[in-house]
Amino acid sequence: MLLTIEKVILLKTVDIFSEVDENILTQVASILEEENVKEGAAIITKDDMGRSLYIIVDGRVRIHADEKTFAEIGERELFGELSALLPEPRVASVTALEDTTLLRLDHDSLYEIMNDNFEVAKGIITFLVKRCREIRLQSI
Amino acid sequence: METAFTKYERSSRLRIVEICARIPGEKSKTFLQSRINFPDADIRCSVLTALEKKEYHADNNEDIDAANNQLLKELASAAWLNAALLDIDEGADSAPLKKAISLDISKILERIFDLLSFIYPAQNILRARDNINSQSSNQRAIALEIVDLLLPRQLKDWLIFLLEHAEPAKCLGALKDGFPQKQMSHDERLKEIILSDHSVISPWTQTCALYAVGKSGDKNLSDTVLNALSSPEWLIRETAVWALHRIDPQDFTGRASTFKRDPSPNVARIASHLSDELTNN
Repeated sequence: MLLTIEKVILLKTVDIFSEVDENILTQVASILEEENVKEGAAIITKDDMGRSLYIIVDGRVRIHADEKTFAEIGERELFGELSALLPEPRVASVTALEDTTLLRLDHDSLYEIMNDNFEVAKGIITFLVKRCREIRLQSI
Repeated sequence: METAFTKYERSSRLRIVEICARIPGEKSKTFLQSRINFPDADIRCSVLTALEKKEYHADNNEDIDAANNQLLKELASAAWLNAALLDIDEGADSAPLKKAISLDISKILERIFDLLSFIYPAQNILRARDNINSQSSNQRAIALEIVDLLLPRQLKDWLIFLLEHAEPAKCLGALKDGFPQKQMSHDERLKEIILSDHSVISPWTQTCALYAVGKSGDKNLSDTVLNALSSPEWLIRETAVWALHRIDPQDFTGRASTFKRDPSPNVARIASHLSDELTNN
């Protein structure tokens, strides 16, 4: 089980939260849910309603639709963030490639934190803008 | 506002200062001005930022003296923190603590710029503040030139390396004549940080110091850890519970039932988990 300080140290390395003050991250860390998943277990299933984002503490996951793999990601990486911002059916499945520890942040908690702390909202806006620019560059 | 500020604890006080910063008019400015030297560093930081945003300027001798006195205290704190950085061992266990202390030093620098803007021409001081963190060497040179032109010699000498984000040894070298510091062992310094109030360091830094103690498993600091268990900050208590479990599992087991009844669910949850872990092993 992770201590709050360890969650804060981890959050500081994640893009969305890297500019957020430690005092605020302590609040974020205190509402994160820790989840341990076994190798091969489904974390997200395509078309299910999604309301949470996940941060990988340790382990590795595969983002895929049926057999087609979109990406494999590991420690300190984030997935499911768009559904946490705007709940919607998941567009891909996520499966653990090895025993994996995750931190989960749900839609309601995320909005509560954004409402109280502009810095968190700013981090998310920055992240989304970067993502939009990457997509636009790929399409040129 | 006055009553609420006195009555409530730290996080509510921070909120009150944030609200006050948004309220226009002289009353809110007076409320903030009377807290220019507030003992808690994070609250003081918010107060000074709010006053700077309200374009506060000390316009009589009494107010100038108050800002100058606080400026000297901030410089003394910067000297203390730089000395602490030098005394704390390198290594993975201390890395979060060193980072936290560096963050406290950058907050001191913010407060120094706010205080300077109350005493000297605000527009120029704030321009120097904005330029000093720039990636461009030209901008940084302009900032240093502004400081050079506006501040008295002694103040410039103390500040110069802090402004340049120089190594701790250089910063301390410039400050130590005005603000002498003792050299301490790693353990003594950790103890001092954990037992200090929040006038210089943040609860986050104290938490990082407790984390370093827990990681090292150093039994010499068990009394210090026990002291931290009564902190009003749940984050400090949570880390102290964990650190005690690491350095003295027997003592932890004896106190576990008290920890499990902690008013903070985070502390109670960690205590239960660690207690179960010891029982299962």
